[in-house]
Amino acid sequence: MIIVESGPLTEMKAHALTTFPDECCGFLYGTEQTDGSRIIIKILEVNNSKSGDKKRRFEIAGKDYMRAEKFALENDILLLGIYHSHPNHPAIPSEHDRIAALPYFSYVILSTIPEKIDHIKSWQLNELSQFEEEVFSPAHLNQSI
Amino acid sequence: MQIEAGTIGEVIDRITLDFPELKKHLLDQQGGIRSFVNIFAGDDDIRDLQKEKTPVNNSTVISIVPAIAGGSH
Repeated sequence: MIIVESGPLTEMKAHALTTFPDECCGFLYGTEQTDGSRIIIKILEVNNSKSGDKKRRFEIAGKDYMRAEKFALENDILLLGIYHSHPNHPAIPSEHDRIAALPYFSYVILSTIPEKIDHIKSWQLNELSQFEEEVFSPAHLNQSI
Repeated sequence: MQIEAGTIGEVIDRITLDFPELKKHLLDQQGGIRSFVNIFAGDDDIRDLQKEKTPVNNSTVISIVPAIAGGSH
């Protein structure tokens, strides 16, 4: 389960709406519980550095990733995943998402439509390098958010 | 970790020798650095320098950084 606190959730949604119709992206920070569930307490917005079609692609520059790891170390929190948006598309990882995905990370995807977050889902790679959905809270995936 | 080496390539050789499990994550089948792996010498991407031949010294901080990318369709 991944629980996103209201502050970072609000920021993440605002980021996705601001960048619409382009994809947004950023990092998720927080803590891990003994049962494996994750609590996201902070996000870090980053620039979508993809050159070309940002409406259906995102890329995070290596320097931004180094900055994100440094932030986690300096603030004694865990870098737990990545969020990005799918403008006008469901929050289901594409093959592009899967190929570039890293184990361990949670991948939160926000499906955006004009002026609205349609739904949010979160995913993690399994041992076979396939995405499995993880329970996203507080706003469940297919509910109106 | 600290490694004595003269180039980035030597650093990678040493890492994959000491930690063989890392080899498949860092190198492709031809032995080159995988496209989804970025290596920085200090603040500089080695692709902008001399790639594997980029020289290092005992104060060079080397970062191995995954490429983060994706997209809706």
